[in-house]
Amino acid sequence: MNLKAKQKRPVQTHIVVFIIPALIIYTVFVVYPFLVSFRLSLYDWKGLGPMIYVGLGNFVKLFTKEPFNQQFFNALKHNIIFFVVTMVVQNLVGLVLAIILSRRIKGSAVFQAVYFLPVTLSLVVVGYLWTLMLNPMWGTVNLILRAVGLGSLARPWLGDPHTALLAIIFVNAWQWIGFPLLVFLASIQGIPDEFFEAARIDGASEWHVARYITVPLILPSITMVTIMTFIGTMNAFDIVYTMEGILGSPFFSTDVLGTFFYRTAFGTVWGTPGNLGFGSAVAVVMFLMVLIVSYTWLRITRKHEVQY
Amino acid sequence: MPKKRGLYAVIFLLALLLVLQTSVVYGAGKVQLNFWSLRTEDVPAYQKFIKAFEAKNPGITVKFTAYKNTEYRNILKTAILGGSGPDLFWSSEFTMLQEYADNGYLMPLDGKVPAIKTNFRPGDLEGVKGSDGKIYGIPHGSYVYGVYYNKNAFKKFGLAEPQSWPDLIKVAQAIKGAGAVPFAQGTKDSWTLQECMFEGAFGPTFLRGREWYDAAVKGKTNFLDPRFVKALENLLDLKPFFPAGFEGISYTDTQMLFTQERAAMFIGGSWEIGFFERMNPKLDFDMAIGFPETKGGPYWLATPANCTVVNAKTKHPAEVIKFMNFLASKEFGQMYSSELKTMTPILGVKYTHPIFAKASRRLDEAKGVVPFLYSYPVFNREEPAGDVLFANGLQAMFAGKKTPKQVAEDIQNGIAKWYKPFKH
Repeated sequence: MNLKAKQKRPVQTHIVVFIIPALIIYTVFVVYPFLVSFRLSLYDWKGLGPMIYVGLGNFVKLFTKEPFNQQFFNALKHNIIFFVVTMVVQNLVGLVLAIILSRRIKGSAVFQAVYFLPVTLSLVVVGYLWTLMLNPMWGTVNLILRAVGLGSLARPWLGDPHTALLAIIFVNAWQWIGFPLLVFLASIQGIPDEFFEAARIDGASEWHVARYITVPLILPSITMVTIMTFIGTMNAFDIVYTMEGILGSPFFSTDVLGTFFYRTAFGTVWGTPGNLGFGSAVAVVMFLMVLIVSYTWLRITRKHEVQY
Repeated sequence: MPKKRGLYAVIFLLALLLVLQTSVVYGAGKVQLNFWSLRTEDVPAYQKFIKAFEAKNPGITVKFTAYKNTEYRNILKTAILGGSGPDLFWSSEFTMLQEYADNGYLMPLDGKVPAIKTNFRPGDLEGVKGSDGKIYGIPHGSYVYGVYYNKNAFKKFGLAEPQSWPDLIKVAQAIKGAGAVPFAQGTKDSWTLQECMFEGAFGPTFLRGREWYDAAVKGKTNFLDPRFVKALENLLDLKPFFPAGFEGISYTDTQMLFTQERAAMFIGGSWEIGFFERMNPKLDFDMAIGFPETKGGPYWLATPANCTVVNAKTKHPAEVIKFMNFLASKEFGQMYSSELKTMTPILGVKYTHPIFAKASRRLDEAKGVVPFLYSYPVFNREEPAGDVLFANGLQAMFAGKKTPKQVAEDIQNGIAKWYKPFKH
């Protein structure tokens, strides 16, 4: 299309008219607050009272001053654990299940629906349900353990600093496993059957088929799910908040960047004043981490994708 | 084409209106006061109080709006900063009140509400003063803390109401010896440790009211003081009497344990009474309040209260002051306590509920009545704040991860990072 033809096209007024309201909403409620929080991160501001410009002071405080740096790196460590464990118990298991279900075993459709069901539940419901099940006194988890003679394994799952974070990660994976499963299943079903047939005729085992055909050909989906898991786990907040509260109970052993941010920005329910400036600095750091890692990851994995 | 353009313009304007729709307030010839709170459960009761006020003050109406407690503070802050906001609103004592008062957002009430001087204990007004010493709020509901006990269980084990701290330990031992769970207590929700147990039920007597606190605020002593460490050690003595797996037991679980009679005692605040009665109408319980070192010895109690404050920018100052006078009156105190089944710091209120009557008597007999002191007013001003240090420290202490001395050190090190009198 040459330039002249482009200019001659009538102005699509109706498109502009229809876009503007959404654009205004998006600008006012997303773009503007986003930019404001960047600006806020350069100020010391408790919400009431004066806004004091401190330059990069908030960031220096976050990385160097106790107890903020301790709490920050403690929370970051938990986010990383959250990501790694979720990759295994949610995405790896989801992948295995997807491969099994792709073989069109009996009841495949039912299993798909069952695995996907928790995704549709409200997170608060899931958090509450599992808090009950993990309750040390009447929770079904401990009751079952005792019933099968493993009573020594029964413990206050959400109150023990060694198990609390893992319990939350497990609950989160339990809720979301249906999502990677569905994505993987869809991509596996998109692979031409000839590839599998050819491999099987050549005598490839199930493992070899999975390792050399399925996984390489669904790599784009794996990349996407990995990045979404990364973003989701780095920004984790709601499940921790529902199950362990704002302090990442017990004593910060489940604290993640999300809860750390909430505490620093808005304070605690009892009246510790928050600092919106410092909280914004935490949010900015979270955003940059997610952005840089996701982008680099995408760049690297793009190169390994197989076209067919 | 021009016709079409006109049509687009109309669509555009309508779309714009949708986005920028503003609420229109209808004036009705009357003065309407807006009153915000976070007590969603109090809405029906406040509507009754307001009706009583409106009946005596024609021409003034009060609109009571309650927001979800987790969102209230942010909604309020945004409104006040934006220059709008309600005429009067709910505030917690100390930190929240001072945050608003010290930045000039509240109207001082000195001299405008005469009943403040006659209807309250001086100690109950401490939390409603700004840093300038002026009074900014009228305290309403207040709580007492103590140990609820199941009367049937006590009868069964042949026990009487504990009269002192050693008594309480003995009673707990007897219940445990009989194979029952003495305390319905869990440490999953750390605020119960910090608020109900330390600040509320036992701390004031362990630390003899203000004795240690006043010295600590001046920097003459600190959290490493043997008196403070001893208070933590005392609290830890209760641990053997908690149920198995208490680290994973939440606050609501503990309420369930007590109301379903699976534990004999419950350490908590007076707001539970109504809830316990509703949960299990057959539950026969009483409350022990104030635990001296020896029977008949001196004891101290804490009664934190919340308050109502006035927006400095209210457009109807005269009418608001009328309403504040109503909130400080005995008439309101009586209505408030009967309707909401709670205590009020307003003096001269008659309590019909036996536990409130007892609490009122125990407050009069106490050597001293203090607001929440140890982790809140002064030691909560900056990060790391006292409430979080206390809550986390006590939780770690009960989990066996830290000794009382280490907890005291953590609190001290945390507060000393910003509290000048601790920096030597």
